[in-house]
Amino acid sequence: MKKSVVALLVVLLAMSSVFASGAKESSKEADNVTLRVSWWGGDSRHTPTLQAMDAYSKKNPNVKLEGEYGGWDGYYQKLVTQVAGGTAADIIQIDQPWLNELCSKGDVFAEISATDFDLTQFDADFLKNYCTYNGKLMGLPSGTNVNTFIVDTKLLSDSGIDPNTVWTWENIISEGKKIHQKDPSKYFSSATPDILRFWFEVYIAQLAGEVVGNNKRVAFTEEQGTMAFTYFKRWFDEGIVAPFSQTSLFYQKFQENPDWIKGNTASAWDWVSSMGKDIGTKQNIETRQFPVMAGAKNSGVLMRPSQILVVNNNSKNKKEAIKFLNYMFYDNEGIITLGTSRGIPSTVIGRKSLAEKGLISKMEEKATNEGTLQAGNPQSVWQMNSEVIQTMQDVIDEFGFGKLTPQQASAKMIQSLNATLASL
Amino acid sequence: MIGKKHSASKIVSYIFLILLAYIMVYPLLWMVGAAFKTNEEIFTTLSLFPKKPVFGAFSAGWKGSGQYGFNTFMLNTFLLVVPTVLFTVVSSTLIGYGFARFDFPLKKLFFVIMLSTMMLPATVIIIPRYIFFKNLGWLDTYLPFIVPALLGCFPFFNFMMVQFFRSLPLELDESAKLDGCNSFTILVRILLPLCKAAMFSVVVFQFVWTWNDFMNALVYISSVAKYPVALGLRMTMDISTEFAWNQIMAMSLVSILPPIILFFAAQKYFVEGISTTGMKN
Amino acid sequence: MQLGKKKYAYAGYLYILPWILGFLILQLYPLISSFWYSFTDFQLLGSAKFVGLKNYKTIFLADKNFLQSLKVTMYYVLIAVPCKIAFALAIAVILNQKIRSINLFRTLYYIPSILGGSVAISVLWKYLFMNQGTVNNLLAVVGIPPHDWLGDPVLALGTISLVTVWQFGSSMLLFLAGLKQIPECLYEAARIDGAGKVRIFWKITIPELSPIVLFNLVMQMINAFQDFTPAFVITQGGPLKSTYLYGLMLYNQGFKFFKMGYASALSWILFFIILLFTSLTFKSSESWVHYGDTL
Repeated sequence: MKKSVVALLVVLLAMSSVFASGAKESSKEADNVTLRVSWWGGDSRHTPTLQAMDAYSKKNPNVKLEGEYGGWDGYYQKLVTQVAGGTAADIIQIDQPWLNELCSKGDVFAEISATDFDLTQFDADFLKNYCTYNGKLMGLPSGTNVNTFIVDTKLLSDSGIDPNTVWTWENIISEGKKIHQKDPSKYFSSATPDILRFWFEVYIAQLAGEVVGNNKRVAFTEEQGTMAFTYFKRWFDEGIVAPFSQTSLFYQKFQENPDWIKGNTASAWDWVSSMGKDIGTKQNIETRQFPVMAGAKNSGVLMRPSQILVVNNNSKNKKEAIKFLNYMFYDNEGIITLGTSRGIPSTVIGRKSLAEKGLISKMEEKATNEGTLQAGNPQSVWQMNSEVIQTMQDVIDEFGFGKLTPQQASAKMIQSLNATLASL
Repeated sequence: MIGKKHSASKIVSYIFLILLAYIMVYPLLWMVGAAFKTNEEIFTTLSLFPKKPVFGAFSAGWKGSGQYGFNTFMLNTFLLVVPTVLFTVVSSTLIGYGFARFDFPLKKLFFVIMLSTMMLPATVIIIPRYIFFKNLGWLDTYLPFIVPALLGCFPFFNFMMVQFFRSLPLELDESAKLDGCNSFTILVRILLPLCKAAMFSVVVFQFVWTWNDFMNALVYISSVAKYPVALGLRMTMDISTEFAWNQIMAMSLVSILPPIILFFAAQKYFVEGISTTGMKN
Repeated sequence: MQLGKKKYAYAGYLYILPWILGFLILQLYPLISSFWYSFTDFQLLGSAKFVGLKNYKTIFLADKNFLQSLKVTMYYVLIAVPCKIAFALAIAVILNQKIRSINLFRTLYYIPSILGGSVAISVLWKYLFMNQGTVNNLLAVVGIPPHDWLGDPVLALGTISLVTVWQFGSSMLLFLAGLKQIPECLYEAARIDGAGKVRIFWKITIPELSPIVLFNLVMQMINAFQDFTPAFVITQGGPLKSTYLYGLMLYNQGFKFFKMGYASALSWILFFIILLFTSLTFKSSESWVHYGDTL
């Protein structure tokens, strides 16, 4: 009995020592500043960013930069947890749709327009459309990202289709169906269910301007919805796209579908920023303009920042954070070191410096220019809301699996969107 | 006749075991092959063997991305896992023994509460736990893993030890008591030697689970210098920029070696029959 | 100190003290918080506003996904848990024999449980079960036409369950540990009585192992109800929500849609469902579990 008491006391002592050791505070020095910078990415982003941070610290010995970097998986969840706990980094890389989601919950980020950061090198509309919340500039676009339509010219010509075809909604079907007719294992489009949703949004944007407006209302009519679904039903019926039962497991990862990698599908809807990864080692890939219907209200082609860099509103060193951002965007050394690790720079000076050094790939440049020319209006914050997106996706899934006719799908889409919007 | 029948059934057993082993190990073999393939080949061929093997995935992967490599991540993982495992074994043994062999007021209630803490999905606990650990100053340390182990906050293991203790006959305790043992010496001298297999199950499970734990590591550890392998493995995986799958495969293989070695080493404790001395069944 | 029926042995408190402290210090606060959140509109950031029973009302009256996820999860639990346990038990019994290189087999069978959530593996499943995948190629040899194992709403849940059953290693290990604790003398006595292998299995092995069977059953059930990893990494809940496990749904509500209050309410509903099933299992165990300490 005595021994057991002793043993338990030992355990208790061990515990209390652990508690005590956890309570110690990190010491801070008066002049020296530590800035935490968090981002997600791969090797091609980690290395240049760390180099730029090193170079900056050498020039500014009082500033210590700590990178908190990792992969994409879980980044957002961690960020949200940190924001909830008040422990997020000083400078944070976020995805564009998160800006509104996070800002709507509180004063999470510092207002950039309240600082002396030089904004003249940015396109004012670009900042206004994508980086503001309630009219206040909350972040800086790290780069420009646009939609692109890429085609496999070899598969097209092998199937008897002119590889230089200018694509329209109609000839996607009339020409595109030749591929599946010639070889039943091949298709014109690589669209997975999520990509078909993007196509649907493009089609509706051209018909009606947008899916959901900034007024929180569904912007298209049931007839317009039926038109769109009737059109996309032909994609399935005429073999433009593989059935959902084969593509749904590559949801959000069409580039991992062997059919795409092996060249069994001839085209893809993509973002320029991920184009390089999605093309991989594939040959004969070229970018094309998106189809636009006559009298389109909006091309539906999206342009947005590849990421947004924000300053934590809780940061004790906002001034220093802004200084480092200044280095990233304006210092020649910073620009060159970072290169296109966050997309093609969104500043004039950034693009110019990189182009002079030949650091922007020809294909990315062409795709960005084409996309920028064709780009339509920005999507409303409600259309980018993750619950709205999920609602659209659910109806698209049911439609794609043949559970809904075009009329039913249109009616259900409007009804479900209204219900979701009402709950937000 | 009997001998023949016996060997025939053994052969059938073997064939079954080998076929099953193939299914069990197929993913591992595939990973080994994939560590020598290009991204394109990983995603387009189903063959286990690379057509044109590419080398260097192991060394490149080990070097890691950015400032820290897998030598750091591996070391960190041991620093995190070893104390967690040791404390879990101690606490779950004591707690299991307490529930299994003693009768005290509110025991049933305590037991129900203990099990029920496992029934609430972790998703909704993450934020309050995070804020709690932040207030204690434990963020970016391994304490959010180690202290719960010390305080028996893994009801899985507590309950497991309860079940193993309870399957041992009570006469063991009673005869030991006649020999003058107290409750603690009964545990240490009589029961624990009989529960080796169970204790090593605790070691193996907790080791593997903590080793692979991505979610908690993600939330609690921020400094790359403190990343365990679960985070290190994913730190180059991006949605938009290309990454080398073969390095991920290679490092996944390297990172499962310690758990496999541990398991293989702990094997003999599952093989040894228990001594039946002191049993009067 | 008598371990008799009526007399209490207060030393037990000392042994379970670590857990009591752990519960009070580490676990109670998050539990209470999440219970409180379930009556608020907590959105992860900012403050939580009390909304009464609104979340619960919405779940029961308006949320289409709630019933669908509950149904899917029930199927998942009913398929995966019994299959996993039966399989683990069968293999453990086979591996408990004196077979050459048994150590190797044991390790090989445990490997899936180590690989479990590995990022590398999630990719593989798609390639095994996709339309032109390995499984269909193998089935073609025996003349079975190809199926979309993960793309067909009827089949996907079964395929996901298979992945869960594949990781039977932990349960197997516990059965093995339990088998080792069965005194050899019991078997000998039965053999002397002339009992055959099958009879020995049902009359000795199963009763002696029943505490471990109960443990595996309860634990696998508790885990399976909350499980979402396979659905999260392989199917993302699709096709047509056929693998939209409850755990995945509430994760999405919490961390994708920021409705942590709502997710908390969903969690507490699941909590009581699991509690109900666990209690029933324990209740039934009185008739089939045989403990060494209750003679």
